[in-house]
Amino acid sequence: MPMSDPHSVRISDLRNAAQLARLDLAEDEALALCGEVARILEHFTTLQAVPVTGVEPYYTAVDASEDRSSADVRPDEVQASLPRAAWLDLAPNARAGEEFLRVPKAIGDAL
Amino acid sequence: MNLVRQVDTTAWLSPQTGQLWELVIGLEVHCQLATQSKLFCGCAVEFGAAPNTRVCAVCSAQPGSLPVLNGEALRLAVRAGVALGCSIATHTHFDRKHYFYCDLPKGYQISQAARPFCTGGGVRLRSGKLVRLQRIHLEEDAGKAIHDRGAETLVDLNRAGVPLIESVTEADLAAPEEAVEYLAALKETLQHAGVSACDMEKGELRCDVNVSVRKPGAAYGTKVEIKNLNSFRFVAAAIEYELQRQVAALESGDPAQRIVQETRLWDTEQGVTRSMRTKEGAADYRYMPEPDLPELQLPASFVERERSMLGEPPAERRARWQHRWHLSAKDAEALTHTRELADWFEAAVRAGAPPKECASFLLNEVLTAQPDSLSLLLPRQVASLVTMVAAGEVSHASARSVLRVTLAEGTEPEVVVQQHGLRMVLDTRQIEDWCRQALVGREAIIADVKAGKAAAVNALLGPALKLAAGKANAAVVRETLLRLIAES
Amino acid sequence: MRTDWHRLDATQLAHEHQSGARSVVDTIAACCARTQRLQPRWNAYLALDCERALARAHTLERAVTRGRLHGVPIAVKANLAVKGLESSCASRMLAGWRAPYSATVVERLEAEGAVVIGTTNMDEYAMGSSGESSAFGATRNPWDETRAPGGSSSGSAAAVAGHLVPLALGSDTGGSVRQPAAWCGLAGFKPTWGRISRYGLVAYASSLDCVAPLARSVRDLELALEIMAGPDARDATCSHSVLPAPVHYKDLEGLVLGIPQEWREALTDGPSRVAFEACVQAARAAGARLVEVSLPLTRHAVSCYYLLATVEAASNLARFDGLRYGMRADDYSGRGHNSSLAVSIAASRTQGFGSEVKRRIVLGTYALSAGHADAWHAHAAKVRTLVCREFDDAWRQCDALLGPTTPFPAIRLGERSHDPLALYACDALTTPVSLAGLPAASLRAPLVLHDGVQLPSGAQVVTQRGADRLSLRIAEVLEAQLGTQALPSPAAEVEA
Repeated sequence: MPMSDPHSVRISDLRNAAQLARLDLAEDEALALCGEVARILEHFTTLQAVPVTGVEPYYTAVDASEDRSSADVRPDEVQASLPRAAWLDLAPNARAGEEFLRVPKAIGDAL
Repeated sequence: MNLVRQVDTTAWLSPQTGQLWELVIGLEVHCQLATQSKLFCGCAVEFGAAPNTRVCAVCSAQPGSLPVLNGEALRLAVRAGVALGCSIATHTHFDRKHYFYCDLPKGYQISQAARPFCTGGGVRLRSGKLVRLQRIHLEEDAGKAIHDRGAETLVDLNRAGVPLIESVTEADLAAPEEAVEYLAALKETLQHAGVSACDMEKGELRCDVNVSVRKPGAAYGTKVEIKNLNSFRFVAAAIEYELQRQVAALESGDPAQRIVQETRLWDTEQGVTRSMRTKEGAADYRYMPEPDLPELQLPASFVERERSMLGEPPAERRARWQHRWHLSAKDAEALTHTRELADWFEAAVRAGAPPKECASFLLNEVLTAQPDSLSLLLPRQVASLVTMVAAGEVSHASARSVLRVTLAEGTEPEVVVQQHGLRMVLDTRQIEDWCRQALVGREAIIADVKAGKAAAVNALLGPALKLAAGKANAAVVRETLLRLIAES
Repeated sequence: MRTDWHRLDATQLAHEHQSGARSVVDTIAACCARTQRLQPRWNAYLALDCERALARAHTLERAVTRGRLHGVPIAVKANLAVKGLESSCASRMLAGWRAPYSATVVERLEAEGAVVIGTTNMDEYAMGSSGESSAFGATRNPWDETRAPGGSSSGSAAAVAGHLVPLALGSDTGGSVRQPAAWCGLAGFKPTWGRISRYGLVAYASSLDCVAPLARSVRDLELALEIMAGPDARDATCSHSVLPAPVHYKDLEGLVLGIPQEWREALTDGPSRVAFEACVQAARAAGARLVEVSLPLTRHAVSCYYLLATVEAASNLARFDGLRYGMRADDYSGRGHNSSLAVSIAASRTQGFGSEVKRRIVLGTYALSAGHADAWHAHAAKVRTLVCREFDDAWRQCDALLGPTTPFPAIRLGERSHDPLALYACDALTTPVSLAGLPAASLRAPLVLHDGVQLPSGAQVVTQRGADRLSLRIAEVLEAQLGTQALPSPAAEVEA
């Protein structure tokens, strides 16, 4: 397929996608997985034949007929938070009575 | 590198090359909205709360949790847009901005991408220059990551989900002091609108700066983003630093020093910006409409309601006070420091206080007495006290004492004046009496005054006031003395 | 002789408990015993808490107020939060996670007296059509144990088909309750999107996910819908309106049913076509007027669905980074990352997610990435608009649509597990309905002779947005007409 075709799928782009999604695939696994995804996408290119000029994208099936200006918002009232231990204890390396969530050092990553 | 600031134009001259350079600055300001609870859940927004105690299933991104929009956050955001002269969209929706970080529990931030709820508008500087706003959008804040405590990074999610508006200017600013003026005006507008307290110390106002340099008339240079600026002073300093750094790099011609589009951190201690050494170019945030939050309608009535909550812009208030009440510019500025103070002042004037005297009394006595004076007093109490002073019923010194008592005990000023017998005597006959007594045995002074040395009477003021036990107005006493001497 | 508890449907069981004719404690104890003994056979459950269930049974027995599901044991798919129970989504990534809260649907059912026995097996993170993508082994179809029960609500379907519970919760995003219902001889219901709160459902594809019940009778599905539906302040996309009143039809007189020609043509084998024709005849016999309609975009539904679903899935699974819950990798070899944090996140996700999940995450990330989002994601979203319009046109011609639920009956375990596209094909008839957010009831159609075995099949009744009651009513009438509501289930005879 020509390079300018937006529907041609490059393995390098799929590997980039895996990186973006924080999936660290070993060489052979990467090739196999990306190969499968490429094959699936090739199959889906038939979708491109459907003409969509002037059609608005439909991202969510919220009922447009319902009046959604007021009822979807919450009043600004404080509600009880979870006791700290209730959620901190779910962390993989949690220790009893901790104040903070402990994670591997993050320097170099910050945005 | 020591660039010379030009006088007639906003440009800098490089002594080395004789080249003029201009600054091109854009500001991205994050401002925390003054809500009780977070943007998408009911956890309290509370600076200084114990770590990780204002967290729930939603803001810790527990599997299965869903966001629900805080109506007050939306109202305040629209109010901010109206206050800054923006166009408010009729419909608005949220988008997901994806990246991985330990302070971003969902792995995406709920923000607004292509269609923010607000566009246009701006802030006019004193020079008349309009700093245009590109957009304002609503988004949630991330938590806090602490890197300098041990081998691990510590995370506190109390701040995760706090409502923010992000306002982005066009690249209209051209000098460090313009940036500072813009920020001060923005802060004042938002604070007076009740949108945010904008307390930078609490992180309620954060500023990122985009800076580039160019030769006059040339195309824009590569811009650099600077983060971690938590005071207006540092904003100006960082811009200054970047100006010098970028011009030096460009003039050196050294390819190794070429300006790279990157994010730099302001180092407060060293007074320099440092590269963060991250990948060049923009991150791929893969924006996608937020499926868990329906599109919202913002009808004109909604927008108009927020407009009606705004009140008079502080600059207009100051102008009116100076024009109508002859307040000094300095006093007007000080009294519009917060909306609360400005409203308080006007309430006192409405309660009968003479404006100029009230302004002075508020600034010099009330606010300096103790930090929370305004919350312990009523405007009409101050009005009553100021009115008494202006009418000469109470001396200035006494008023200070009355204030202290009212603050401490809550007693009404008139009552305090009564109880302590602080009321000045206005009775002319009584004053004459005291003066006559003071004149006894003072023939020498009387003679001096009659001979034309009016100032000699000042020596009698002290004794006369002492007889009056301080309850006579000094100016009135002096006048009375002079009159009696003249009549004698 | 008294009927065994496990042969009754939920409605009947609840009545007997309410009146005291049957003891809740006896039922729950028997249910737990049966479940524990048959668990190795079908692998329907991932987590069981019989102690908790029995304690609840004792409380209910003493209770004065008795809800509409009083003492009825239910199974809950492992992607629904049940406070205190493990909901792993059948993934190593989330193994051991006990939700600190319960899903709205679980709270509502428990408030009516239901007893949650445990969380059921599924395709990992609801991504699958056979149950074979579970990290904890596939579930077997109680009808034919060499076959898949369907997916992704494989365990919930097996639990009901195996008479371990009369009612189970699953989720239906592209067919994940309707398809296993069809393959296991059950009734399954996908509500209008937004009808039932999603709060507590681990998100796969947010704009498509629906909590959906499985049962052996349509009246049980309706009862579950009545209890679960209704506004929820914790879900902004949940409809504000309450469920409309029940629809009372004894037959289908006055109703027009549309048969989409493309759906009929999707049936791959003779016996399946015969079974579906029987449904069509039953509709006619019940008094419905039948018209043929055309939904040409049906052939694109799988592609359109998978593109949109994987984009949302990649986004929804970004929170699984091993930091706040779930699995954090102990060892990792840090390739090309800036920090320990990035290394750790990548290692946890790589080790924690199975291959189908990884495939879909890569696909979804790619389809939304810079330079590709317009061609893939935005395009698919526009095709979705056209799919909705196609259904809107169909409603001008009929009150409801009738079609087969799946193109073929239950596949053998292992038959398609190495071919993702072949598995996606199972959803050809369920995905168009999901894209449009429509309600659909899958009813028990006649058995199909396949590979020398009699296998269950399903037919689905699809109605307009909000017409949930109508789809259930039509399904109930058709089952009565077909006589399939009394379909003997082999597992009912299996003694524990």
